[in-house]
Amino acid sequence: MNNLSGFLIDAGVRALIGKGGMGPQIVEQLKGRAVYLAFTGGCAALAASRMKLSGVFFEDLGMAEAVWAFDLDCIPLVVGIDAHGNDIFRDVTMNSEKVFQKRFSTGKGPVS
Amino acid sequence: MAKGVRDATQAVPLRPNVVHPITRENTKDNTGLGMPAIHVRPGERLTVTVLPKGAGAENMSRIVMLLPSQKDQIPHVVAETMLLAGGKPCPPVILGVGIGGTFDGAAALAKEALLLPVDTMDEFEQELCDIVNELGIGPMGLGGKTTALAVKVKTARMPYRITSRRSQCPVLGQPAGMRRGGTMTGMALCTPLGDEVLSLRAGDRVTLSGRVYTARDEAHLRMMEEGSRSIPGCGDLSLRPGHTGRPVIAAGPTLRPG
Repeated sequence: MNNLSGFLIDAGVRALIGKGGMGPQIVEQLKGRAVYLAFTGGCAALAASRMKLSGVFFEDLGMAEAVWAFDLDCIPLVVGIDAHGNDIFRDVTMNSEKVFQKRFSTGKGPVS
Repeated sequence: MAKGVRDATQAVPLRPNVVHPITRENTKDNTGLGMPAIHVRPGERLTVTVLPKGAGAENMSRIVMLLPSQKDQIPHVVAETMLLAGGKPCPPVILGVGIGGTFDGAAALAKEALLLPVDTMDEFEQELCDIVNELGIGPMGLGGKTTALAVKVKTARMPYRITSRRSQCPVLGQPAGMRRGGTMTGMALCTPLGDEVLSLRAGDRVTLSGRVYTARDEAHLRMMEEGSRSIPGCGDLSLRPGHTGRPVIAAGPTLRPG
């Protein structure tokens, strides 16, 4: 998906919704143009209770891959990547790596 | 059991997810190609245990071969596996750790570990759980104290494997600020979106209302090839740079017919 989403931003899409983040290439592409909004995986019941199906396109691709149109009613989301190069997933990963390095390469951890 | 999966795929309905690994052809009923995975053990009685486990967590599984002298590095490997997985397996996770046996046996142990009750952990499991939570990956990889709800370990001999699964927990009531129709703590966004998105900052909580479209890889490829003029309101994504855009969800929903 990461390699495929650039053209959507070029075309003027202002927000991508997903989970888990998108990687540095998309962070660059979003700058000054659009944002990445994160939905909480596993909360499908909440999402389903706040959306109405309004159409389907490319149905020949099958249920999983078709384009579905929905009308949302106040779906709660977190801004994961903003239009200024800030990426919450990158920050969390960098911090986790620091914690990991500290524990396992300074003689504090069980590896030593 | 395969028939049960086929029936459920139609009746519930469930999204058909089983595809050939090379041709990407979908079997359309969630069976075939070794799915559902069924393991039979000899014994006196018939007991059926079902482990529902998303492929998103399955994809984050990992096997590591350690030398006998490296047994103290097990916490390192467990933490590293969670670090590599990050937010992708939809944390908080329950980690199943299989230690020892054959290559495939270790994988089976890791799966079996996920069937153990998770309300208690022994000292080693608690240590692993604390180390994983120290990473601060948090729910959905957004940062936080809880990355693993539990770590369960099953031990045999030699190799070693980790697998993680999506956890489920009951949600009792709605947290403050997330009331239906409320503005939560941040902006209430409505599609079509414009320059208001530029003022958002990573970490802001927002709500979104209005028309959105889903698109997974195949749909992206189709739109790149043919454009999206056939999708009303979507505009032609391949040809109209700069137009005011509707959001796109990177997800494939499961839909009840009608």
